Amino acid sequence: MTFEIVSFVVLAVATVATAIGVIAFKNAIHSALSLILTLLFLALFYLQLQAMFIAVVQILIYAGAIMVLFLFVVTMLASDQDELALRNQIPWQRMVGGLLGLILVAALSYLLFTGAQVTGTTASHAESLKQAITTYQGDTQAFGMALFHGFLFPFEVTSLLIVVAILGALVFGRRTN
Amino acid sequence: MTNLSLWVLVLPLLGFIILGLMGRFMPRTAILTIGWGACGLAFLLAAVNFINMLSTSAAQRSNDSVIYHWISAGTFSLDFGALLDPLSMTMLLVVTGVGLLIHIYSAGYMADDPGLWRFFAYLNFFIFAMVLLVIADTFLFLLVGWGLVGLASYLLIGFWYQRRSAVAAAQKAFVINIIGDLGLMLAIFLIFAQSGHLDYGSVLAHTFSGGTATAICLLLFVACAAKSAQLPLYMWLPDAMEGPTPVSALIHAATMVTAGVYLVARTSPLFEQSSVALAVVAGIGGVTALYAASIALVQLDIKRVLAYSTISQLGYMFMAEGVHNYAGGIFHLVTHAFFKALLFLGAGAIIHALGGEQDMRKMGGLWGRLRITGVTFLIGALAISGIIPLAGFWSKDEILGSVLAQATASGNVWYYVLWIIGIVTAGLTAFYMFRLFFGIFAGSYRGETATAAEHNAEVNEAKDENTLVTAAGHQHTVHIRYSAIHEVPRVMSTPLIILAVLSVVGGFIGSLALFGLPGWSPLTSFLPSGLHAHAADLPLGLAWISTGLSLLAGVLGIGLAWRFYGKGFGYKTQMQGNPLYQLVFHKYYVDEALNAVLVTPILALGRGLTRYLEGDVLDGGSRGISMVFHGSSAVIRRVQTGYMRNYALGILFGVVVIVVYYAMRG
Amino acid sequence: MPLTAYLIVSAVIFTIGVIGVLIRRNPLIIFMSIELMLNAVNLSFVALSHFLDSVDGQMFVFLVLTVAAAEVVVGLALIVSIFRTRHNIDVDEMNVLRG
Repeated sequence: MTFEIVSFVVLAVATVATAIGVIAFKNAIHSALSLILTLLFLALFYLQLQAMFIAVVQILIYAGAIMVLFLFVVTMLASDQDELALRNQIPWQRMVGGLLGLILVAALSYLLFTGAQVTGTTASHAESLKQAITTYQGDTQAFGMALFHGFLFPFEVTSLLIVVAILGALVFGRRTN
Repeated sequence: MTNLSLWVLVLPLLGFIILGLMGRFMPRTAILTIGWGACGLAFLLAAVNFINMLSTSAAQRSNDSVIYHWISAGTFSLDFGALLDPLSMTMLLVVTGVGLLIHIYSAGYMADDPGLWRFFAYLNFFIFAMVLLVIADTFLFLLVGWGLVGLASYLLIGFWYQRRSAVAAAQKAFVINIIGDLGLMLAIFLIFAQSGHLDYGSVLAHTFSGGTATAICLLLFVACAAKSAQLPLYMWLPDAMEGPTPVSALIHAATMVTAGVYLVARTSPLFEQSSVALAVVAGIGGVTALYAASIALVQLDIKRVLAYSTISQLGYMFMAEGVHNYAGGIFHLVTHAFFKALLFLGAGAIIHALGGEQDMRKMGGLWGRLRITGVTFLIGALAISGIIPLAGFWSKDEILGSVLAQATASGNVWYYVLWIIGIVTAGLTAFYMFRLFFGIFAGSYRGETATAAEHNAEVNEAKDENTLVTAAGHQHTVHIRYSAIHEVPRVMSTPLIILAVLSVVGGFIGSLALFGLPGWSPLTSFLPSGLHAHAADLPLGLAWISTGLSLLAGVLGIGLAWRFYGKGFGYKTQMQGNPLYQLVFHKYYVDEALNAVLVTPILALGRGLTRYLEGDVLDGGSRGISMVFHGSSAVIRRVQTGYMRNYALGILFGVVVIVVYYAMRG
Repeated sequence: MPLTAYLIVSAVIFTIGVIGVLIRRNPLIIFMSIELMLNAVNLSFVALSHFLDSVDGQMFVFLVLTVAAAEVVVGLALIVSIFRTRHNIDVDEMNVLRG
């Protein structure tokens, strides 16, 4: 029990710290590296929550593929441009934004602490996750069964979305002259 | 029956659509096939329906079939249905029958016109609109048909759109017809507000309060007066002669202008509820008949003579309806359709043979060259003059008889005056018709004598007189030598002959009570009893007096015309000094008066408003409003900083407000 | 650990992402902040899935992942093409719509 609390606290602190790093580093490359760390820590969170498949996917796709794309663009574009060299035309934005963010966190936390606790009810149509894991001998197989039975249509729609996204990227990236 | 009546409506529409879309690329024969076919099949279907109807008993002859449920909202429902009863059947036969003859005739008259396809498309469209008007079973679709025939009329008057005068005439017709449409629309609003229905069956069975009934009927009559060219909305019809002559025959003589007569007959239960409205109908009809006939006496353009004659005859029809004899009005409508179409087509044949000449002064002696046209024209002239036993005699006699019957039954002196007007108009009609006939056919040909100088002088004169601008000024009439005048082709003369036969025998569908056959009245017994039941009866003796007097007036008119013009038409210059002649010749200066009283002040007002009101007051107002918006938006637009992050901040602000709201609510 | 703890971590990361969008002017970092927000939501999904004993939450994470990939592809392409025309990727310079 204590191990769980300790690991949670450590993970939480590390995740929040690296997340702050994403928005605090001046250099975009540093931000991107910090984001990769955040994503890795989140994958550990997922492991702790016994979501093995999601954790692996998080590392492979997010921390791997998407962040590589980010780094590629960051290095390609002028990363030497110093953001602070340009005059900030709306200086009050930073203060107001930070203030509103604090209020948001405070309000959300207040809501979460005082709000109705989850009583462990399951959606009626869905089968129990833990039961499914024992039945199918593992989280991944349970996930696959659910994906290709209850969520087949959304899954197919995402494939369409990806095709459209690829086409969009091609159109934008094409040089026209 | 339902399907058949629907096809009467649909066929001309199909013809219009096909010709309108593809007629441009069609050879002449295809255009004629479609144009004639659409109208001919419609006529055949109407005839088949008519025979079916004859075989049913009188009670079953009214057939209202719903074709399309249009609107249904709560208790209110509106269907498009076809009402086939004896009244609409009579109109249907006249419209499609005369329409078919005129379609055939047009093939010859318009043979050389490059816009032949357009012409037939418009003609089919007109037939469609007129059929819709006639068979509609609600006031709403009556209004649709009413508007569409106005549109068809506009298109056909302005058919030769290269002519300024034709375009102006078309616009005039349209504008005046809009006044009528407005009247009809207001009447329909009033009917709906008072009765809650729009279909004939419910509305005509409804009893309106006295004032409302009068208001509805007067508004309806405004529509009728505009469509049927009655005082004071008649001005468009003479100008409408700018259209091709077959159009004048079809729309502005035989069918469309009788829509008003039809409407009064259709809504006769309403008119029966208002004696005031009926008196107005009768009075306007009588005055119009006399007024238009007097103008027709001195016109020189042969089509304008016929145009004023049409107005005058329409006045007769309204006169009959004003004295409860709706069947008599419809009877005259039918016979008038025959002989007036005949006269117009005859005039068209003459104009065609003379290469576009419409001025009576340049005609004469054509009897020798245009034999078929001459004979048929003579039959038409005799028919309209009310000479026994031609069609016009019976119907005119019926009208005059019922006016006299109303006079004796009511004892009102004004009905006697109306009757005398009718008799006098009959004499005038005979006179101007035979003035026209002798002017065209008697004496010697005057077309060749006009030299170039004379022609120019006439053009100037015509411009001054503002009468023959079309005939002499714009049209560049070719003066054809007498020997070069040829009878019109058979495609044109055949309709003339058919119409001439109809003008001879058409009257026998009326009552022959006068001649010892009281049981013989096919039309009257065919039409619904409501159309004649309210008319007063006339003792046989008085009927003979009325008949004799009108016949005498007709013969007298012809005799006078023979006396003056029998040797040929001479344009009597000494008449020009006569103030009465000048007054009538200039159509009582109505156009001039309208210009002075209405057009000039309105134009001046418009100019004044443009100069003084629009510049500073109205524009100032709108400028002021725009200043307000300009100023306020200059302040507000600061919100639109253009920084995306700023907008995102707005979103966050909204989110925080919502979340905090929930947190506060607990 | 209770569910609330995970959700609060999620809320904190989400807010960090929001603030990042608001205060940074480099569109790449703004994008990364958006990824932060998406991941914060993912965390709450997985946590809820765990505590509700239902696989549905993980399903949503999977879909969010796909959408995020698509969004990044299009977004980065947009940034590249904007940089090509303006040689400058400060979002504050993109203010054509200013009133």
